[in-house]
Amino acid sequence: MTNDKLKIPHGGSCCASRFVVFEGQFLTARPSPFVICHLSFVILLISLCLPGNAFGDGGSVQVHSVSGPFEITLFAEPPLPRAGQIDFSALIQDAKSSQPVMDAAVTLALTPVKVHQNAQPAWYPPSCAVSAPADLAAVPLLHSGASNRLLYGAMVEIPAAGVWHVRAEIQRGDEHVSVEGNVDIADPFPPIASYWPLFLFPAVAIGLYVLREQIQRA
Amino acid sequence: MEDAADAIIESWSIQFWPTVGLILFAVIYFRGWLKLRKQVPHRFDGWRLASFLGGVGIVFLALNSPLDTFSNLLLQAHMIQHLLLMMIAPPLLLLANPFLPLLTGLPRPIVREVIRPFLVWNACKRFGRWLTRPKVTWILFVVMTLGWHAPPLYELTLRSPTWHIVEHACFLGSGTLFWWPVIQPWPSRPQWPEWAIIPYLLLADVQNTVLSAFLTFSDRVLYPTYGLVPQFPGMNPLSDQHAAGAIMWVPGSIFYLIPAGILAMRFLSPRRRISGRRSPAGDPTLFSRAHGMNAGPNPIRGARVAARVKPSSVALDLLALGFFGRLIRSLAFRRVVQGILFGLAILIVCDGLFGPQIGPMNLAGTLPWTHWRGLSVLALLAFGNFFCFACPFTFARDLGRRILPAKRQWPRWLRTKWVSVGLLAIYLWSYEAFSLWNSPWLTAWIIIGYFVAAIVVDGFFRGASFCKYVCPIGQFHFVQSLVSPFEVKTRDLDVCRSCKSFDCIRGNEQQRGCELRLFQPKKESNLDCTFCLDCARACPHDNVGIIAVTPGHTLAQDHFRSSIGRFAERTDLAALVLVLVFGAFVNAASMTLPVENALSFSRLTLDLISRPAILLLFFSVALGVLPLVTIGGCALASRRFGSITGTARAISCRFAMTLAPLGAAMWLAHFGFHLFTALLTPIPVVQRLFLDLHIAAAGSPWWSLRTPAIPQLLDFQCLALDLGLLVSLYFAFKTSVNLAANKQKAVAAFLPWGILISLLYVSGIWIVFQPMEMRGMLH
Ligand code: SF4
Ligand code: SF4
Repeated sequence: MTNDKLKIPHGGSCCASRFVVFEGQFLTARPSPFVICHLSFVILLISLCLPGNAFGDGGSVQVHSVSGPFEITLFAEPPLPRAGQIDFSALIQDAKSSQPVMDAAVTLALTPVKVHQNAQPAWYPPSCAVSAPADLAAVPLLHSGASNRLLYGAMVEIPAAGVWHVRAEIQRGDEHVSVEGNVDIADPFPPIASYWPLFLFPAVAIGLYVLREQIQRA
Repeated sequence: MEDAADAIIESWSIQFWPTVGLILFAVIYFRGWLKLRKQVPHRFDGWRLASFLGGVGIVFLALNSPLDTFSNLLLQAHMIQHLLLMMIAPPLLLLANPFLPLLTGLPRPIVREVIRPFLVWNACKRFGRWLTRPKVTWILFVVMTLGWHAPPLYELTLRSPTWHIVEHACFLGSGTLFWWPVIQPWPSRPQWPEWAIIPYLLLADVQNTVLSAFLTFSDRVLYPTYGLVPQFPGMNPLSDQHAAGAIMWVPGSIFYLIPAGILAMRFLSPRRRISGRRSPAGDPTLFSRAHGMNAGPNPIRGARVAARVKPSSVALDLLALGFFGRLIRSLAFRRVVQGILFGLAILIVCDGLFGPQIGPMNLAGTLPWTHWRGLSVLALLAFGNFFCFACPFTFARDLGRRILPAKRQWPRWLRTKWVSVGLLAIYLWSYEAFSLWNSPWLTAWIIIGYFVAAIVVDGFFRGASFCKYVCPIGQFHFVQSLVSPFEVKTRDLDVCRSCKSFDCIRGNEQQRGCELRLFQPKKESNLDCTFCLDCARACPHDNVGIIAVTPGHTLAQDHFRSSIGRFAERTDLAALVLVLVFGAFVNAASMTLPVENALSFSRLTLDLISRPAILLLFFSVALGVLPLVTIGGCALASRRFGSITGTARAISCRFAMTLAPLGAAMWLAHFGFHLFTALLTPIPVVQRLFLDLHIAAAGSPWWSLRTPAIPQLLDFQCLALDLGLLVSLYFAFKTSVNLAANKQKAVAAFLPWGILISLLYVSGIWIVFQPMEMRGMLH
């Protein structure tokens, strides 16, 4: 923006300073247009750019149990797990003090109990399909695999919806315990549904353009 | 427990898109702030920038720090996150007077075409005025605070990441609105007298106190999810809830009471009482003085400062960027870059001929097909035709000129794009038919053939005939650079009008002129421009730059262009664009599983034994029949319904150009996919090459090396196609407006093209969602 495009007109009248000349057009300096623009910036730029996962890992509690010296909680994110990529994480605590246990080795085993009839196969973005599916019989859960570093986590690819049996093995020195349970895995979202904001964007842009044309005509 | 404490501090979860959005937001503000600081320095001093960056930083912290990571385990972490989004980030952002810097920081065409019409729209102004009425902002803020803390809604946000995002957006949005009348960022004007803001804040504090007291004194867990998650030492769900209530109560109240106190003191101060007798909303000078946060000289004095600043009319010019500009302009630098690429080409040829004949293990199977294509299309869409700038074949062309006569003129009947159209179609077919990406030997021979062709053509013919009429790679770059954000163009047309020498095209003793016969004052767009910068070096007035332009800005116009003529008369140019646009989709579709299966099925049913034969049929239909039928049909429909005068051929030629942005987007989505999924493949290949040359220093090849998957790659691909769709639609509509008699006819003329562009977009989206054959990688 150059000076010839943006000027704050001077002069004795206080009215003059109510205007800002922008690209040759007077805009009132009253809050209205500024608010629209500003708010659309704050809300659109930030909130529309938010389709990341809001929780990191953690999510919903799938298995919780006290076993031997440990209190074990197994989470899945998204909270309603669907076939495809699921972030499994485990919080291991000392059963007596509730202090997090940071030096255990945790392994997760997943086996299908009942896969839904006509279950939709899980879908991965083509670029992610490159990474070979992990061996679901022994998935190591690590602190580095979780964004909450108190947890042990890993991203697991569940190929189909249904009931899956999970078993977590925890080893620390001589102490070895395991917990198990069943997890309901729902059908995957249709791939397009996961990317709806990206398809909404051109539709909104076209809508705004049509509106703009109408405004200009009026 | 020390390592647990370390683990908590390290628990960051950087969320990709929000972070990209925040960086973009900060960059736009900074760009605008830099410009405005020169014009109204007292409004945009350093602390405004610091305040804005602080606000952006707080939002980043709230969304990515351990606060977010622990928000589903601890209510108090969640509460701090909400306080940051509602009470700290919005005032910091507003204190930075963000409106004008954000507007100024955006590219001017976006402001002119997209934002300005809305800013001057009365309905919009009225809505804005209504939305910033303190009554409305207060009610919205309270409704958001109370509503989202109601257990059913709060639980919903804990269960659903999407609702959690909506909640954050509501908090940030309503927070910004709430603080608007309090801060009153310049140049907005207050709708209430200043004293009224004091009860505004105090009443907000009352609702905050009621809610936080409810949380603090409740003897049951209000949000059951926090009762289910594991508890940390010394904590239980109820104590966590009480702590969260206390956080909301005490620091929350402070944020209301401090500004209320400041305003009260200001209101009661003798100076304010004198000025306060005057109209609170009428005099902006008083208003700005009254608001300590906006304190500074009055805007009228600021205007005088602004008027003295010398206007600058030149957009960003890469050649004017000090050392960087001098570097890219110098011939020596160009020669060095060309030399490096020439050396690389020789290496690729040698490895292709003598190395292992497995694509992903050979330089000839990885660098040209995966990395060079991806990088050059990225460079094209981010800057301009910098591949032609660094083209290694230029060495061969110069060699040809030295050893061969190079006196003849390129035959007149060949001075079209038809040769390169044919070569491009053959290349697209043979790439699939002979799996060129997986044949280092064939790749090497193609490169050799290229060198030979460059030497022969430019060895016998004058000018840059090879670049202009033959080279399919050059044509690819010329067409994609139609949507580049930079263009080689004159800095000031008035200087050209008074010029007598025209060295930019004629050349002089030190420097040849444009070999592509592009005369700067009549040059429009990057079409046929190799970015060689001969014109910039030759111009005695230093009047040529690489200047920022609106991508595709000339697509809807049809002026006479130097050495190009008019689009409407260039059937060959339209054919080139169409082969590249349809080729982009066909080339990408060929590597998807469904198309591969369909081709195999057709081979069986049609009884055509060879793969090249079935592919020849497929490509003939996709690159010949389909464009002919669709473009012809659209042109006829356009002419009929839009009452456009002119032949169907001329209409086709005009509109074909507007498809180029969508084609460029498809190439970007396709080549970008290969580039980013096989980014690290050259590492083991280079190690293998060193080992073959008996150089042990690089170690044994790391064949198991995998490029980490980028989950956002598909988002980028869709975004590229979205932008391609919008730009193509926009220019097709503009073309219709230029050709039709009135707006209604223009809409009718546009519709067939709009449908065609949308269908191409849908097919592009379908392609990027399909399972892909991972070419250029070891499986
Ligand atoms: S670009 Fe330079 S040489 Fe060419 S017409 Fe303009 S001033 Fe003359
Ligand atoms: S000399 Fe011609 S081809 Fe080279 S940069 Fe200038 S206009 Fe482009």
